[in-house]
Amino acid sequence: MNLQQIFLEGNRIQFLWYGLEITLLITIFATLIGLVAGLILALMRQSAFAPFAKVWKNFRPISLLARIYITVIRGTPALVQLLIFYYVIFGSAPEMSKLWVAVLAFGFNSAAYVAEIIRGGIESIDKGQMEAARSLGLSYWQAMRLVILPQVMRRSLPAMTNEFVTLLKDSSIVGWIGMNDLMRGADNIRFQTGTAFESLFAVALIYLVLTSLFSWGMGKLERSLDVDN
Amino acid sequence: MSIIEITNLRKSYGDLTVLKGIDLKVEKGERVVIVGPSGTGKSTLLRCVNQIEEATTGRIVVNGMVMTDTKTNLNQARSEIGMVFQQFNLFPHLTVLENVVLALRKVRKIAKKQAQDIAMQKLKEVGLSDKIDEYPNQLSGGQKQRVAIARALAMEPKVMLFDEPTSALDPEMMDEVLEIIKKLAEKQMTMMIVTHEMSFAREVGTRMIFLEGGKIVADGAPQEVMEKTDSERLKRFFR
Repeated sequence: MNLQQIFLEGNRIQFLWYGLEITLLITIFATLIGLVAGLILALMRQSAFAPFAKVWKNFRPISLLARIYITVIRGTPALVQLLIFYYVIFGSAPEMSKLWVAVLAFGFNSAAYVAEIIRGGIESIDKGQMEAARSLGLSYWQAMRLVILPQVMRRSLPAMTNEFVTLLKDSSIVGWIGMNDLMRGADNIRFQTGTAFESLFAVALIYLVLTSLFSWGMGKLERSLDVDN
Repeated sequence: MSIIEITNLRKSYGDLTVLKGIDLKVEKGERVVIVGPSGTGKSTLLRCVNQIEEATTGRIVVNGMVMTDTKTNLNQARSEIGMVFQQFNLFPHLTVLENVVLALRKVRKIAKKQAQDIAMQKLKEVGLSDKIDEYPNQLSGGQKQRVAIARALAMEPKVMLFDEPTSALDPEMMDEVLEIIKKLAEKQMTMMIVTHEMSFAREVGTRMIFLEGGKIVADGAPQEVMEKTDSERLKRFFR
């Protein structure tokens, strides 16, 4: 079979088009959830709230909760998490669209990694920044929001780019819950045509173009923000 | 009542006790220079005044507000105490003007235009009117420290704390910062200054405190402390 027969006959290229849409939707929404939930997790992890400080100095329940979450998510395969979301957590809600199950699963997975990136960023900011902000009368949260986090976001942009490139690639496992994403689209072509080389290389190329475009865009953004260092 | 009252202040880090019972009263308009060997708790003492460093025990009252009381609104209290750091600690993601405006807007809740006017005025006083749109990394060390002073002064503090304000500067940039502190002194600003610059300490201070081993070992007019001391230890330090 030649390329035209493989991709155009029976309009098989539609598998890839449709799959691309699913892959992008999952990646974009999961990224948003990952950013928001990751930020909240990172701040929870930094929390010094210790209700029993007098007798139990190192017991910081909010921080502990965040640390447990991060450890569990980072310590188990994304595929296992996806299947748990689909079959266990939303198992009794069949009307729930698969797209949102996948978005939530990848979003909450990504949050753990984003939290660690932000934590590293917060710890890399000189202590003097918080001290100067507090000495001017800013509250802890004002200092975080206005002084610390803006610097963290710039500094962690490269690591964030990595994280979302990973997310885009990892979304290729959603075929396991029966979603027709880019990867599954290529698989369908492979099944129908009995050829592996063309369909798999085509999908690999599409992933590569997507990740390269994204990295390039983020690189530009990084350079335009690079006023401080 | 004194503007700063420190009573039996102790500060420990685990087993290490840095301040071993400090009693100090500073009157309005006084300029207290704190000197002494390295690692003796000078900076820690200064940082306890606005509770950037939490006192282990003891009582600190500034502008009538009990800094060591958990019920005190520390943010409010700190906004009346200016602090200048050795490493400047300007906010690198903000322009010079934004550095000065930030706390005026967010702590004092002053309208944008008015806050900018105040900031411009303070930057003019430190001679940096032409740098307002630059970022901190575009400035020299001396200029950075002058912005940091303007940032603190914009809040109209009743007390200024200087933590080794020239230690990170090249000698040729030291003078431009010292001149500004001297000008403040002429305006009778109440100040506590940790410094190693003895000639500056003598010139600007109305009072000198010699700190050693976490305790005040000498307290008096700079001239007295530096010259009329009987202690061999102090004599060696000032030589």
